[in-house]
Amino acid sequence: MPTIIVGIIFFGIIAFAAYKSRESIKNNSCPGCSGSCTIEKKQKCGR
Amino acid sequence: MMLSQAKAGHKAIIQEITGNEKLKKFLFSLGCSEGQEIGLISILAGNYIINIKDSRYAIDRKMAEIIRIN
Amino acid sequence: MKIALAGNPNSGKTTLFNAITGKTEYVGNWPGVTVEKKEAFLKTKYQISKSKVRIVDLPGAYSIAPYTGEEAITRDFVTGEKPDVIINIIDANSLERSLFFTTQLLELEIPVVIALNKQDVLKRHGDVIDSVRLGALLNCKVVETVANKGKGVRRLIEDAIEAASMKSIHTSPDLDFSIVSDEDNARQKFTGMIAQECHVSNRDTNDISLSDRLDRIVAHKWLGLPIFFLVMWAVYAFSIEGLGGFLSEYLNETVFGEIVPNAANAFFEGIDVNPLLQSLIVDGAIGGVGAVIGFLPLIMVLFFCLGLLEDSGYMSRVAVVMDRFFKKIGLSGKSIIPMIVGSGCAIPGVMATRTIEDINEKRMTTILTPFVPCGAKIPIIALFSAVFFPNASWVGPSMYLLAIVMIALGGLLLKKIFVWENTSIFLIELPEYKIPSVRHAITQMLKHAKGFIIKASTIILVMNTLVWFMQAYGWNLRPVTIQDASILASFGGIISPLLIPLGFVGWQLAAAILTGFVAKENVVATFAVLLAVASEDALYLPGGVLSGIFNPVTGYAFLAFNLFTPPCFAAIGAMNSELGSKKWLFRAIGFQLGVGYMVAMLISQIGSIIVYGETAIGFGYSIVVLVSIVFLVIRLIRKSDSNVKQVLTEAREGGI
Repeated sequence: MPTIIVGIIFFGIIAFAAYKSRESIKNNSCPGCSGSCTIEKKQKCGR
Repeated sequence: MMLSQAKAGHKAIIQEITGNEKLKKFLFSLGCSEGQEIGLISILAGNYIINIKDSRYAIDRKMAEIIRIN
Repeated sequence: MKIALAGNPNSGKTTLFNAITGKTEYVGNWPGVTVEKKEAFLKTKYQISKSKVRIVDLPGAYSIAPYTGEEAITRDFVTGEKPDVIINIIDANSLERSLFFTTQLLELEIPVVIALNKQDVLKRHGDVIDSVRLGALLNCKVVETVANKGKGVRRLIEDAIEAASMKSIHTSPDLDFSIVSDEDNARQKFTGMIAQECHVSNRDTNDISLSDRLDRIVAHKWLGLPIFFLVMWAVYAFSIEGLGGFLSEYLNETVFGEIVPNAANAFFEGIDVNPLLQSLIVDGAIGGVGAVIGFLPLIMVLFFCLGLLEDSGYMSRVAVVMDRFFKKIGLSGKSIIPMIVGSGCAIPGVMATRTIEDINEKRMTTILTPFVPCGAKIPIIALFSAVFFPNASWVGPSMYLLAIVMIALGGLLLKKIFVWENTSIFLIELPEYKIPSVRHAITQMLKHAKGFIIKASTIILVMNTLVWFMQAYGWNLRPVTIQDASILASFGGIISPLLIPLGFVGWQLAAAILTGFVAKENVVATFAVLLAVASEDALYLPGGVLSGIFNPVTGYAFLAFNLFTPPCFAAIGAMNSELGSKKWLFRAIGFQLGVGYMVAMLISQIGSIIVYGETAIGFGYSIVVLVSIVFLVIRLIRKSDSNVKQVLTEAREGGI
C-alpha cells in the first residue's frame, strides 16, 4: 500500500515536471532558462 | 581631414559623412552628421573614442575614415 | 490597456519594466540586451483602476527607421500593434540625441509620456533640465525619474494611464522646413533648439573625465587583453574554486551526500516501500537532482560576480578591446556581446546575435557563442576539478581561457572554409563607469538561482528518472543484476566506440554525453545515478568514484569535449531560428562536433604522453582520425578557395 501511494505521488511529480519541460521545449527553451523564442514570435525570430 | 587622422583631444565640426545611405542615416540618428560638433577623446586599441552630443562612443578605424572633419 | 516602453539603448527601459512589473528581466548597460519585446502586467502596487495594464518592454532604438533586426521589432510594434500609450524613456544625460527618437514617436498619433530618467547622474554632473519647459515645448507630459531607485515611477504610471484614457493625441512637433528641406535635418534643428532651451550645463563633455582615464588603462592597446583575462580568471577562480566551490562542497558532501539520502532511506524503510521504488527515488531522483542542486551556491556566487561586473560598465570596454582581435577572424567587437550574454546561458546569447547586421558575422557568432562556458556547464567543470584537481585553482578559469582560444581558432577556421568579406562597421556606446549596484547583482543571482532550481526539478528530474530506469532494466523490462546488461548500456555501447580515439572507454561516458545534449547539467546527474551503484561515497569527493573511469588527463579532455560539442537542444533550437536555414544549422552542429572531438582528442593523447610518458588508449585510432580530419579541412579550404577564384574570374569577365 505505501508503495502505491509513494509511487503515485512520485510519478505525479515526474509527470508534472515532464509537462513543464515539454512546454518550454516547444518554445525553444529549457525550463528556467532565460530567453526563448515563443511560437507566435517564431516567424519574427526566424526572420 | 578624416577623423582617423586626428589626434586625441581634437574638437571639430563634422563636414561630411561619406558612407552608404543606411550607415549615414544610422549615424544621423545619433547626432553624428554634417555641421555637428565631435570630440575625439582618445584612441584606444585601434578604436576611436568620440564624444557626440554628450555621449561617448567607440568606433573602429573604418568608421573614423568616413567622417570628414575640419 | 497596453503601455509600451520605448527609448534609446541603455536609457533604462528594462530597469523601469522590472520596477513596475516585478519581473527580473536581464538588464545590462550595453546595446542588445533586450532583443525581443517582453510583456508583463503592471504590479498591483501601481494599479489605479481595476482594468489590467499590460506593459511591453521594447528593444532600444535610436530611430524609428531600423538599423538592426531588433530595432525593427520596436518599429513594428509601435506602428503595427498601436499601444494605448508610449512611455518614452530618455536618458537625461543625452537629452538632445534622445529627442530625435522622441519627435518621431510624437508623430505616431499615440499618446506619449516622457520619463526623464537617470536624474541622479544628471545631478551629479551638476546639470539641470527644465522638465516643465520641455513638456511645454513638446506638448506632452514629462516626469523626472530614477528608475533603478523607483523615484518618480508612480507619477509616471499615473500620467501614462491618464494620457491613455484621455487619448490625448499630440500635435506633431512643428518642424521648420524654411531653412532645410529634408525631414531628418529639420528634426535635428528642432531637437537642437529644444535641448538648448531646456538644458543648462556648465561642463564641457569633451573634457577628460574619470571614466576616460579608466578607459585609457582598461582598453589600452597592450594592457586591455591581460586585464580582461585577469578579471575573468578572478571571477571564475573565486566562484568555482573559491567561495562557491567551498559552499558547494559542503552541500554536495554533507547535505546531498549524507543527510538527505539517509533521511529518505530511513523514511521509506520505515513505511515499508518496495525497495525498487525506494532506489528509484533515492538513487535516481534525489541522487541525480541533488548532485546538480549541490552546485547551486557556486552558480549564485558566479552570477553575483558577473552581475557586479556587468553593472560597472566594464563589458562594453571588453567589446572595444576585443574588436581589434576579432576583426582578424572576420568578426568584430559586436560579436563579443552575444558571447558575454552566453556566459549565462547560450540561448539568450545566440539570440543576441540579432544585433549584428552583417549576415556572415552573425552566422559565425551564432556558431561560436555556445563555446563560452554557460551556467549549465559550470557544474561539470566544478565536479571534475574537485575530483581530479582538488588543490588547483586553475581548472575553472583555464576552461574559460580555452574557450577564448577556441573561439579565435574556430573563427579563423570558419573564415578559411566559408570565405567572406567583413563589411560590418563597429560602433558601441560607452556608458560612464559606476560603482556596481549590489542590489542588481543580488537580483541577477536570485534570478539565475531560481532558473537553476526550476531546471533541476523539471527537465533534469525527468531525465534522471529515465536514466535510472534505463540503467536498472534490460530490454526484457526486468531488473538487471549488472548495469552492463541494461538498456542504457546498449545505447551507450553504440556510441562508445567512437569515443575510443579520445581515450574515453565505457558506455557510461557515452550515456552521460547523450543526456548532456538534453541539458548539460545532466552529465553530472547521470554520473551520479550510474555510479551510485558502484559506491556509497559522494560523487564530489577528491579521487572519488569517477577516478575509476578517468585519469586527470582524460577527465580534463572530457570537460573540453562537453564544452565545445554542440550545446543542449534548446540552444540548438535557438541557433536554428537565428541561422534561419537548415543548411547552416547542420554546418554549425557539424563544426561544433568536429571542434569538440578534436580538442578532446588532442588533450587526451598529447596530454597523456606529456604527463604519463605513455600514449592513452586508442592512440592508433586517434592518428587515423586526425589525419582524416586534417585532410577533410584542407579539402574544404581548397574548395572554397577555388570558388572564390571562380567568382573573381567571372566578375572580371563580366566587367569586360
